[in-house]
Amino acid sequence: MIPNSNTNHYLYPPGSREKILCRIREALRIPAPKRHLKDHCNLDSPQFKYPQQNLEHPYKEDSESSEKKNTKENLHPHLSNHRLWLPPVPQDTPGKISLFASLSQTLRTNFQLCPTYSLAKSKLQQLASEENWKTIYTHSEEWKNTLSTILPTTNVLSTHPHYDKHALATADASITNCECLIAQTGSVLISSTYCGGRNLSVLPPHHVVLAEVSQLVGDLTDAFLFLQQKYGSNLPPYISIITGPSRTGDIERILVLGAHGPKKLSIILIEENPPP
Amino acid sequence: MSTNPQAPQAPPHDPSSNKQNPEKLFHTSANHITRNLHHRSIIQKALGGYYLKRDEQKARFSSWQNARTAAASIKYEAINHLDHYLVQFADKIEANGAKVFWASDGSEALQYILAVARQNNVRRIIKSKTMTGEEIHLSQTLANEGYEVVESDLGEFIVQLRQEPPYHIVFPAMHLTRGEISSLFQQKLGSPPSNEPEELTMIARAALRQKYLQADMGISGANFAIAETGMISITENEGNARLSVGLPPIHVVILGIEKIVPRLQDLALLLPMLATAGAGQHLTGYNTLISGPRKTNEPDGPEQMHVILLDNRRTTLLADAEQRDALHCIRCGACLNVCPIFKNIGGHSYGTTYQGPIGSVITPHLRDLQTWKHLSAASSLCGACSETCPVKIDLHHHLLHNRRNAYHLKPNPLEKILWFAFNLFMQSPFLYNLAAPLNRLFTPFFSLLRKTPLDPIRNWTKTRDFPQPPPKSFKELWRQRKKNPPSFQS
Amino acid sequence: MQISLFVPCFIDQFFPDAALSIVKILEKLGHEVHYPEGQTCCGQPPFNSGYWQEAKGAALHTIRQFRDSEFIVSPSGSCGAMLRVFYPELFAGTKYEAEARQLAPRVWEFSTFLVHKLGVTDLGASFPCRATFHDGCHGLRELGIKQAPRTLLKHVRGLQLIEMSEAETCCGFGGTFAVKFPHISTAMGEVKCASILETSADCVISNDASCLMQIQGILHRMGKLIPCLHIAQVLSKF
Repeated sequence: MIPNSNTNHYLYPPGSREKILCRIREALRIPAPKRHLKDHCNLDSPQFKYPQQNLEHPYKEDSESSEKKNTKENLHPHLSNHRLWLPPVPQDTPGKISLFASLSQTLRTNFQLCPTYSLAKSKLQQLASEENWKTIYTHSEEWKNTLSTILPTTNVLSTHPHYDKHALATADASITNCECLIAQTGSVLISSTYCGGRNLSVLPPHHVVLAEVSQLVGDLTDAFLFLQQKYGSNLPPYISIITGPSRTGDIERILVLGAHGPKKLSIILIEENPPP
Repeated sequence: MSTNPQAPQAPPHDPSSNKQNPEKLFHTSANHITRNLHHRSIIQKALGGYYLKRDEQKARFSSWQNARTAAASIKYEAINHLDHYLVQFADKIEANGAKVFWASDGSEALQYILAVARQNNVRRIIKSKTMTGEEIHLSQTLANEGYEVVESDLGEFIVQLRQEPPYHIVFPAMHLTRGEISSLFQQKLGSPPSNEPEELTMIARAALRQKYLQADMGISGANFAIAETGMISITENEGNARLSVGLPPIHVVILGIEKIVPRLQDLALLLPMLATAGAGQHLTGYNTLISGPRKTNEPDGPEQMHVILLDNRRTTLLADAEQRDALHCIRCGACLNVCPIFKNIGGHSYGTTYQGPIGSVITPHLRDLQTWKHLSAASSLCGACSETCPVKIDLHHHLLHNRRNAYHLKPNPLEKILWFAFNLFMQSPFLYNLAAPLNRLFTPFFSLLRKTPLDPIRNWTKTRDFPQPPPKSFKELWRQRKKNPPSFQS
Repeated sequence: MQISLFVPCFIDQFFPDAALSIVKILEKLGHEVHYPEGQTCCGQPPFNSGYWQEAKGAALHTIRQFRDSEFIVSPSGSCGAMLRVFYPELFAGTKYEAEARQLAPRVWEFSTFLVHKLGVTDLGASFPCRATFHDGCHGLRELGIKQAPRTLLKHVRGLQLIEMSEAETCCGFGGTFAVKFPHISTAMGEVKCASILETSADCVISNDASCLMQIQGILHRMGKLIPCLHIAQVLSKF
């Protein structure tokens, strides 16, 4: 497709960028009170005070410095603050794994911890036979070949640039890798460029994620840092943080799984390092 | 059997299509619904589970209160440097291939979307939930122009079938029972009756599946726009937004200019807070960050992405420095869920896009103060909204500010005289002491008028008993006591 | 110490017993109670109705009444909040702002004054009943009062405190709101009263008399003649 910016000028209305920016600048001439930092009267414990200094964002005006040196401190001077308030996450790996496992249970994610690759293989075979997988999709040719050998009775396809989305919609499952797993929230983080596009993880009824323990990060902060360190300022155009299978509570606030996306999310976490 | 939901033409509750005075409509609807005990119990039951889960998630935070202040600081920073961050966001996302359109008002936004649709021969449109879209009547406009518009969020799908606006900004169909939804589906989709939420959900799933694949255009809103990386962030549970923006060849996203946050890392705090406050989850099912249309190293994705930044009088609110923090809102709906007014009058009584306390605060700015000031008056100022707001918007005080501003510009003559006299009497102990005993003098007389239109306090006594004034006021008792001081030995 | 009493107008007129109980309690504790007799109303009704200009006269009059008071104690969290939280905002940017700010920190709500200023939790009161406690919204959210009244009630002999599920939910009074939107106000009150009846308490206690007027009004209309008492009335049963 050739972008044709000239025709756009004739067909599309011009927009009000300058008008809006002008109104914003005019409005911002009067500074707003920081109502959120206002001292709340608390007669019940008169000594109580919010630790206000730490809560204000110590922003640096130049965002350019982040691109020069991607150290944690340079990127985000306020990181440690967020962590102070968010749900705590254990520092050690076993702690993170058990947090992830317990959150998976609440989320109704099918979480499997496999000490070795061969155990993971048999878990996959078990899922395939239980659900009678005829056709499944994965994100790369390499995975397609490996999975074909593991699951000989299943037709394994991949989301190459010309794949058929109607066929993907009728597939039994998708198996993908991920960028990372997040212990604090029990989430899987995928990107379109690394994990097979935008639809692979959401269109088939069962999404299976294979990950290694080294991919398990503590919290969202770490997950974003990981992305920024891996890709620099060139982040993938589509990133999704998946937390449990698709769900809805729109009818009487009663939880139902599989509203539009996958009814089932399986995460197989492998403790062993990959075979050479 | 038809799986093609008809788009609403003109919702019965939509005030813009109704010539009646919004204040009168509000009174009529509120009076009607507050007496509906069935409605009261549905809402109480639906929110009961929410409170439990929300408190459970809040307790997981090391400090929910400090997280609120930190989140508010992020939004304060963004809103008070809005020009800077908007330009940064727009430049970044345009560099990634998206087209950004700055819309001054709803009609500019609609014209642009229609132009995109016409230019690309669009016929079918799939929509995921966007309150900004509701604000400019996007679905109706597109449907009136002959496009097939399908709402994909389950709650929105249901209210679209019923041709009514969303009841709640986060739970659009929370006022309906499974029975009502079942008969709606039977009637509109020809599906068999069911009493199971799961079965009903699967009926909607089946009805919508093909719509995603057939659609020529997907429209979504956005929960955040990240200036640093030029990304939009969409929060959802069902996966319908991911399907709506990932499958069709065109993605149109419409968002208010206040959705901006400075940095990607800000989401590490805001996403868990949105989930906790909004639905009592530790993180919402899908949080999707998108920074442009399909790139060469991607197997799929839309060919075009259009980002519409909508002002629609948000700059009017921005200009009110006192209430500027109302633009911090992340549309979690927490203030609706705790508001005793909302729970009793229901979402439709407001007649606004945004219901509950936040709607009562911002609607006078987004539309017109004098026409919508009654929403700010209809509050006991209990402050439950401000207490729960994850970004610490001073909601109930802003209701007070709206009242002040409205009556300062255009006082109600009768009230003005009443309060002027009140003020006069209260400044003078002499007049107060003269007037106060009249209360005891007249009350027995008033009680004779009970249940007649002559009762001056009938607005109270129609539904409540009025206390009998005691024989002596405190002032009199005090004077008496000073004359004969009691002895204390007890 | 000398303690000044601020008795809001409707307590003066309708619930004098609550104010009188405070006098008894403070005198029993050996303090001198001072009651500036010129006081009238804090100005909250016009203020909450949006007529700030018309609230200023009454507010200024109240400020002047307590100019020399070291501690100002109010039986109502709502009117206490008016003095402590809203006066500075009402007079912001005017020549009276300093006076308003100077008044604010001296204002106390009765129960927190006892517990946190005087350090008193047990007054030796005895009041055998099954009671439930309603938190007045202004006291709860503008002044941050939650524990102090409960601490005091815990030490009342024979009193069994049963928390209701909607303890922190507004009763629907809201000043002029109650007569401007009577149906909404009543519906809110009904929800509140249903929660009270659920506890099968035989007495409702609150630290705000205006809420009690609403709750009592609805309970009585329902035919439930449950007494609604101000916390001071309970604490003065010694």
